[in-house]
Amino acid sequence: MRRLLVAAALALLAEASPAVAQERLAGIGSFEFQMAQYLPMIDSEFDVARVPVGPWATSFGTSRRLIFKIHGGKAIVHGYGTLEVGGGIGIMTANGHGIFSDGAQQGQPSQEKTTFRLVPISLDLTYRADPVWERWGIPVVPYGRIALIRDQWWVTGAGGKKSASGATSGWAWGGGLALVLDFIDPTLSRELDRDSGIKHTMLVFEAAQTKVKDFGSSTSWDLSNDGTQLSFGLLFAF
Amino acid sequence: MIRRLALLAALLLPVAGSAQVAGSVLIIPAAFGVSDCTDTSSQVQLSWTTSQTPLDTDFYKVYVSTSSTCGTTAAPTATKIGIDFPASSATTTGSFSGGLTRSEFIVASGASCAAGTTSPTVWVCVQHTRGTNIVAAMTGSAPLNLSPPPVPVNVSVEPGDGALYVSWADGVSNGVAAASYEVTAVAYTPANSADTHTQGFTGKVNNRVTGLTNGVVYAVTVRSVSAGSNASAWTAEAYGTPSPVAGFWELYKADGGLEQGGCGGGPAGVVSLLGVALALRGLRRRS
Repeated sequence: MRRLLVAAALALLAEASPAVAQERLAGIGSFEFQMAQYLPMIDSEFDVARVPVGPWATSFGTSRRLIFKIHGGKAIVHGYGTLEVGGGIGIMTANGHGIFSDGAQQGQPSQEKTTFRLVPISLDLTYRADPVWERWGIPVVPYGRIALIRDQWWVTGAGGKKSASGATSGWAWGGGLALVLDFIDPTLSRELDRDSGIKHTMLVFEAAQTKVKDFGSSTSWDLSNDGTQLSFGLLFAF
Repeated sequence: MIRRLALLAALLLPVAGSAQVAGSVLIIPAAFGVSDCTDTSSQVQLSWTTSQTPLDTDFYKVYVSTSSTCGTTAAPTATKIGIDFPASSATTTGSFSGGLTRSEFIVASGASCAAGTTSPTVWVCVQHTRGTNIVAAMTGSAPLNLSPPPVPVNVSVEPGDGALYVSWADGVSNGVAAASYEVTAVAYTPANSADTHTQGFTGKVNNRVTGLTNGVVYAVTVRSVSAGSNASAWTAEAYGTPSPVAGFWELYKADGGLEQGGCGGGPAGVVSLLGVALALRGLRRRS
């Protein structure tokens, strides 16, 4: 089965690799919808011997959440590939239950909700190796990205009352692969360009490392993602 | 023969339709309850829209009864209330308010508020008259609910922070639906009748009663209220004690977390952002 899949993928790539050069990927810029997995490293601040289960895990569990993002970029350098400057904004909400701190049920989860809401804002530079598609016709284009991050956050406790809010800064680097969907139906792609100005549509898979702790500040919590952050998106190039 | 009758019917139907144009009358309140039978202060408000363009010489006649009969051929067998209201050619709408209190309105309709009687419907008929002719008729109705909805059952109370989570279920249906609920929490231990909280809820049967004191045992009762404002009996008491709850931030601080909140980042963050902005500006100039 795996061999069949590999053979099919190779056949598709071969089909999409004509001798003629492809239309340029680089244009005015791009717009992207993205979903990224996220689990903050807030609990890493605590000594496991003293705090076996950290406050994040106690309140929200240990499953990864999803950040929904939009990202826009403007091409600033065209050459051997494209350099884009861009920015993005997203949202993530974690809902959990507060813990009784007194009374007969002390230590037990209550019906009171507690919420952590995160709005990550990023400013970034992206290099995309367009020649992979433009010269060689391979519809899988690699790219790399570095970003400055500003995470705005709000915490609410029992009864929806705001407990705290703030912002934590950091940076991220990563890269991914953009699957240029034009090769599936070039005619449809040209129609889309004519009708909407969208020159290319790409599926984007990205892996990133984030360091969000106010650049090492000792009085900030760690909002970096626990491990490599994987994301998936749909990118439109204009 | 049948063919001719059908043809005749087809010809006559539109004529009959134009003579008996029906509209609707909006009644406020939309439903009457037991308390309205003795309400001598709140007024009933009526409004309607006629389907015929009125002349300045036209009138509206308003009737109230427990019968839905309301036509354009003759005055209905109902009590005419108020006076004949002059119509205005400037508008097809008319209204009536300030004439009758709710109790007077119910008495005028002939409906009985006596316990044990079947809950009737109060009908309003408005006839748009021109000379001796009735050119349009409009009707509206509001139920007179004499029965309360069933007493809620399965009341349970869970503690919250300065609050109690109270849930219940509707009792066995008696034909009267609960339109809303009232929950009362009274300080039980230590007893303090001044520490009483009554809150109304619509729709949901699980709610958060707020404004309570942590550590105090509250006796909680619930009752349902119909659209006509008839209230059921209170349920038996259930008890709950609000207790302090630590949310995520309180847990974080209790565990010794160092984050202070507010806009962090320090000079490093600002310098980095400025650096990127300057670098981009330089790149653009060169290109």
